[in-house]
Amino acid sequence: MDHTIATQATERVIERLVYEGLLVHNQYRGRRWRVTLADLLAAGRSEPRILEVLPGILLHRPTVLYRGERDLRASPELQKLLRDLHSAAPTTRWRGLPMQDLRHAADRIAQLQRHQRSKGRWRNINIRVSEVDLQRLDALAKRAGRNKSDVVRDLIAQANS
Amino acid sequence: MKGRLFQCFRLFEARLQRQVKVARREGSVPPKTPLTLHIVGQMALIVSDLPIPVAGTTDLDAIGLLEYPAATLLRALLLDIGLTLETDQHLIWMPSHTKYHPWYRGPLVRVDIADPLFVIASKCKFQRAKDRALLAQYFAVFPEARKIIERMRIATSWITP
Repeated sequence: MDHTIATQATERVIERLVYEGLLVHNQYRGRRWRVTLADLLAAGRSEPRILEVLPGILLHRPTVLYRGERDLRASPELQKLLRDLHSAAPTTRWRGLPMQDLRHAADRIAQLQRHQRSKGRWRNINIRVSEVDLQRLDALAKRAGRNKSDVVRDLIAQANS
Repeated sequence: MKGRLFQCFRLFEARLQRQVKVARREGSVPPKTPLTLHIVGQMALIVSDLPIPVAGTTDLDAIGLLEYPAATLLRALLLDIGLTLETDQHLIWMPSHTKYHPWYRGPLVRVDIADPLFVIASKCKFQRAKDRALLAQYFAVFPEARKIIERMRIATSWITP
């Protein structure tokens, strides 16, 4: 394992992963650098946690990598890793990291991805209200100069602040 | 991340307060408070402002008894800031005399951060390859820590000197 101080390329990879919310760091802020699969593999030599999140990125966030799919097709090692990720014994190691940790990190990335998607999605609901409540909602909307959906969203935001 | 995590606990407290209020009004059982959480692992190092670079995945390792509703609430709030609450608390090992520093103090929620020295001791005990670079950097900056950890009967010889 390389213990040297992070090179500029490693810094860029870390900043991109922090930007994507895949890593947290005490010294780097997120920046949207263009990074490739080769950059990640090289940076992983000095910061193994980059390698830990790599299978998760390839499975659930492939757009983080520039030309990631093309590079993945050219790498039998990584294709095998993704194939074996959920079937290999937990103690099997890939570049010194146990498969259990890689699997865990990939599952966490999938969980965060699902959460972000669900937050961004708009849903329609039918709600049952009394005539009086409907009149009150109309009055509130009229007073605020907004539509009824906006009023409901504002009330939810107020209740949660 | 430190500020966002602090805000997250503030919000957690506000929501718990509301749960307690509702429970009292309805005559049901309120959540047990105050809740005390000990943050350990990589996140404790990130929050502790160490002078060395510390990267971590999005897991938050915390020790503490959380009832199901409180844990669900905290998990949802952490997901909003891109963190996942580690579910396998039983796998965490910290030295029995670990020092915890108060970090967030509220009437219902108390959060302590483990002293970095004890987090490092825990990492030395697990002997994971991914921690080797971090531990080598830590011992380069705090050489006296190695002796203290060895006095706890935890081997540090596996880390490259």
